[in-house]
Amino acid sequence: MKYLSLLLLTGCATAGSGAFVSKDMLRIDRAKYADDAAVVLHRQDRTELVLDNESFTRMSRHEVIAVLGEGGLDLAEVRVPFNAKSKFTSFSARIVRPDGSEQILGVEALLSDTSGKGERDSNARFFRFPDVSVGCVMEYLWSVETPGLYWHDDQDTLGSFPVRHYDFELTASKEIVLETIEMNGGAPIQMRTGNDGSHTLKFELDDLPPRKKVDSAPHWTFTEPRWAWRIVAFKWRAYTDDALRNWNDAVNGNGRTFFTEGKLQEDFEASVDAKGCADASCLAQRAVELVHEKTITAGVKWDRAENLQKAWASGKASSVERALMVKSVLEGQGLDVWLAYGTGKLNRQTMPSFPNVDQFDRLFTYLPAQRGMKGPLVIDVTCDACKVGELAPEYANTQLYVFKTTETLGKTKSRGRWERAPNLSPAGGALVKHETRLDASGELFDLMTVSLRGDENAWAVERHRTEPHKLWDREKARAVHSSPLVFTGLVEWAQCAYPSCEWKVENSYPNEASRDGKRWLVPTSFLRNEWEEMYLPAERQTDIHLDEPDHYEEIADLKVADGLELVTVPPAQKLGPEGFKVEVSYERIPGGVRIKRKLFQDITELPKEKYGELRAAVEAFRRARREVLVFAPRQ
Amino acid sequence: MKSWRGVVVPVVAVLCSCTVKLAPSALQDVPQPGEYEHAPYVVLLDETVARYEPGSGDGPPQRVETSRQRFKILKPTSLPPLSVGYSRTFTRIESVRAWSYDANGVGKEVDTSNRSDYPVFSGSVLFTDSRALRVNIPPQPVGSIFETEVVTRDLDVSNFVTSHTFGDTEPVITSRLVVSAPAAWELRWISRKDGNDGVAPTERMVDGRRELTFEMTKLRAEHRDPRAPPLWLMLPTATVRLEKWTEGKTEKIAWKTPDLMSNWLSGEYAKQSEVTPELEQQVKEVLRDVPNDEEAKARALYEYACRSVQYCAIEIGYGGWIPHSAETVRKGRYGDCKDKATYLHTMLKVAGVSSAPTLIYAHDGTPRPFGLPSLATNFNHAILAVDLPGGRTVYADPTHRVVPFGQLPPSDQEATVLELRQGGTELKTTPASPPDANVEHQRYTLTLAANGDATGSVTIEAKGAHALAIKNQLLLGTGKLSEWSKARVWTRTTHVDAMTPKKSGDFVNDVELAGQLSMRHVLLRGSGGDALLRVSDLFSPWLTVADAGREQPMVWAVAETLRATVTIKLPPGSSIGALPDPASVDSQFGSYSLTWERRDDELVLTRELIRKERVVTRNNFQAANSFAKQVMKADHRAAVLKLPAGGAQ
Repeated sequence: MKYLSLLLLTGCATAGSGAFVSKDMLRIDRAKYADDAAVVLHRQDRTELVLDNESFTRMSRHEVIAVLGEGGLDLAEVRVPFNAKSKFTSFSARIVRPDGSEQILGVEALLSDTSGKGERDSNARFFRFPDVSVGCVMEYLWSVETPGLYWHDDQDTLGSFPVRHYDFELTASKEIVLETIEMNGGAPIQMRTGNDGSHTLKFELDDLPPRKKVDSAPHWTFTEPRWAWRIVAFKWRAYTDDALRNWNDAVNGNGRTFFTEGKLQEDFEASVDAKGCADASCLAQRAVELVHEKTITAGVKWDRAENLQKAWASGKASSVERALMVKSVLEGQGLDVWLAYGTGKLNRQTMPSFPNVDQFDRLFTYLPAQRGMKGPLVIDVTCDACKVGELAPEYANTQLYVFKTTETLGKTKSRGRWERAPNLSPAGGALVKHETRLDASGELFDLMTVSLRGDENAWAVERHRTEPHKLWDREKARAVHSSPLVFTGLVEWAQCAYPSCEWKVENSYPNEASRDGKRWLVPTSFLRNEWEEMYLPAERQTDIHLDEPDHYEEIADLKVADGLELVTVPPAQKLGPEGFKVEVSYERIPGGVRIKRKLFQDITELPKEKYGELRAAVEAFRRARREVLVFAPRQ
Repeated sequence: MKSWRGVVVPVVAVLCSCTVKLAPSALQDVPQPGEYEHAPYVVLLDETVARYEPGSGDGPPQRVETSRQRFKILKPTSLPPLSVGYSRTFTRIESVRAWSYDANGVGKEVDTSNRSDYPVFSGSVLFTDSRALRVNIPPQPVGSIFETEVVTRDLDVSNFVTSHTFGDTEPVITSRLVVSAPAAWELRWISRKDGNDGVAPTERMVDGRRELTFEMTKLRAEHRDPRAPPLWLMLPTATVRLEKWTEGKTEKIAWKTPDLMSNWLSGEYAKQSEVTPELEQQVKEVLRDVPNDEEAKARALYEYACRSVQYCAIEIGYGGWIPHSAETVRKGRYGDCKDKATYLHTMLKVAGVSSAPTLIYAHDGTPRPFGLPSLATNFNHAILAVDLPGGRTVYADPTHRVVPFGQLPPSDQEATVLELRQGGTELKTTPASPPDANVEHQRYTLTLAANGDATGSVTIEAKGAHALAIKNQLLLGTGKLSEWSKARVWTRTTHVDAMTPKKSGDFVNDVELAGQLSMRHVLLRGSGGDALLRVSDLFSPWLTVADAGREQPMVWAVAETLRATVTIKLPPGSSIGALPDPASVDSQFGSYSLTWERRDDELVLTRELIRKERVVTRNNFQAANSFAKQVMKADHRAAVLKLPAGGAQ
């Protein structure tokens, strides 16, 4: 990764629409794209930031697409949605047909819906290339002007078709100080200064392959070359007005929303009883328990920012609202309370050196070291399984931006710093126990007890509180054998709250075991359906990203009729790459056999070179569900 | 085709900050938290009040519709945003309001000015005049009551209906449709439930207006079971339209019967079917090498229309129901279903083949019954009825890219259709296809490894409905064919290493793919070499069992024949022990057979299901379940094998 900082000096940006590409650029190496329905030959995105009395942002796109198969014909449809306050300023298009003939199209070909007038309304222009067939090349250019300046932007994915050439150009008036960043190995960002003093940054990519679907693939932001930019400041002669110069500027906007403009804390009066609490940690724990008791997060977007009292009364709160609730409660106890932003480890690639709050996906409450505390404390109140100081596993040991926003005379000011979150998460995982019995007809009866702990339990607990029938539907689907012949019944909910949720399920499997002479062949397919249908290909081109750690353990005591005994004890196995362990074992017990299998995944990333080891380990785990245990009359 | 719903700006934003109180009657029968175990909220009232009124001047009648929903919050929940879809041509939004009340019915109006209004995009429609207005509902306290009210004015209702669905995915206490019109006007209604008569209205005169009220109470939460028809098709409905009215001093009458609608629309379609010299030239070129035979000409022009015109819908105002001209379609090479049908109709006219554009409801297995004659409620698609010599009529759907001439895709089969012919026609029904018309045969040739995994080849032979998805996929290019095939093969834990077309073509009836695959866990295998091979482990099931308590029918797209042949070459040193007896199960729903055969070092199993009935209704669940369970039992019987010891891993 690299970034550069620019001070733009003079002049004004010019219009972004340009001419069609040369005919040379329309030539295609068909063999190279033999399997593709279309190829984007050229795509150019331009952003111009024009600062004057009526500042505006002009965004343009220029795209050239070759249709190689009928699957590419849908790309003949072009939709350009834009804010109702924006102006659609230019459009041109052409289509070059397989015989080389060319048709130029202008704005008269556009359909419009511009009836939206309000601040939040959208309008759109639509266009469809006429007379398109396989072998055509379609080219279009459009631009939209929006009043005011965009302060930052970053590249979206280029989609599922191959791209032969992509470039992004950012031009800004001389007064605008920009910073850009380029990630994942694209070409370096080029810079040039125009005669008018404006500065232009250019980012180019060539020969991007189409994206393929793979199990546990990294989020596209980790692999696709991409850019981002932001306005650092505005500079007028000797005077500089910071925009998004640093992280304090970036978080200040949200701080303003939380504490000044949004008045989120208005009327929020929740409090905890401090009686018996000797320190801030104790108060924090009480505040967290209160918020967990009163609200759930299911179905609420993490960054929703509603009035806290309204959210509290509704029983549903976002990550942001929960963190602010805890902050409010603890401030009521006289503590100095900060906030912290973070991003789940593998949710998307982050850019700590590039201030932009869009990369975050969780808000934490943070207590800096103060009287009565040994050190600072991170509170992940979004995580229902977490005690104070613990974080959901995907946030443990990540970088958090810790900040405090203060208000003076209606103006907010934020200050903060990066800190590494503690590597402390609630113990989690699943333990499944079976009490299994084989009857004389070959039918298997299984009483299964499922216990979930820690963050893995969160989904179950929330559903149990609000929609228990949905939890049962899901568990039924996960727990049972594929055949509807299998009887399944929920025997009881032992408990379902933190720290664990436990229930019992009874299954019966008719004709499960097969008789072979005097022997009984008993399959282990009554074990739970876990980690199936994954990692089927023998090879892999991308690194492996796993959502979060997983601890799964299953123990089955299988009892058979008196007089039968296990003929051979299958060998135990223990394998897996570092941080990913699978163990399978069998042992004779009175009247039968004990089967144990466990999969402990303590890592979330694995390089593709380790895929073979991972696959072998998962395979051993799965194979334990396909063992045939042979029982014969005792000698 | 598009569905009717409308509205437009300017929206009147009237916000009263005063305290308001619900009428005591509104608080009767209000459930309390804990009363409905599974429901986050109940709908206390779901009401549509429609008033038909004279239009301005001599204009068409208008309708003022007030939709009111009142919710009681029982558990922490987020109410869905208030979303109003509307047509810029036909409808105006008069007001959007909401109120929040406490448990005692005392509350305040909620600010709904934080709204957004945006064009509606759809994957299949490039451009319409449809927009949506959306208001996010702020968090509501548990125990509170929340109410929304949307008032719209529809500017042209003469060809459209007012309809209301009774029921929701959460419980509904009162669901009501109230429709009124000036006493001198006439209203016509229809109400259905499960294909039978639904709720009858009460009728009264109020202030010189005739008022019909349809009401249902205490409706349970409805959820769609797997393979069930869409919920909206199963719930009770009431539909009302103007039957007779006046515009100025002129008396107007709605289409009383489908044939009148057919006649009117045929005139509108005829205007769009003008023959131009360019179209004549086009037809001449297409038919250059085609025999002078009406069916051959129809087939050639049909295939040309399917191939050369891409689907792209642009529907503005009545453009939702009246096509673009055939010449416009020819020039642009794109259009929606009615555009493509009109284009083909016009080309056939040039070629001297008679045909009629035909309206149909394309469905997912459950055809929609015809209601009242009107533009927007009965049909969502257009095809063509082609008249061939000997009085034979063949339905053709040029919107579908790869259906052979003479066949219909499953979505068009068994559907009510209205052919648009001068003078009008009665409703008809499209034909179904029998099980032997829709066949898929997958052949696997596998070499089993000592650990129970296998590699080998597969061929997929498909015809009829089963060939369509394959042909459509092939049109998208071969780049993702292997990935796509993973979901197509019937075996479990299978990775398709490669897949290529062996026999294909846009309009052929039979297609074939061939590929290489690797499978894991073909069988259950013990460390000592004892192994069990069960069809239920090898394949995903072909049949479904209706759960106890299920009421909704189980629906498959077509009657069909599914056949699998698996040849498994065993590793050296293996032996085959007991094999299950052949199984054969027959019922009114289908026939099933499963055979096992040993051939030297190979094991061959063949499995076939003929699905005779594609819909199983509640009355037949017991018998259908019995059939399915016999099949599943047969699938679960294990062949006993002995593999070389020591090769388990």
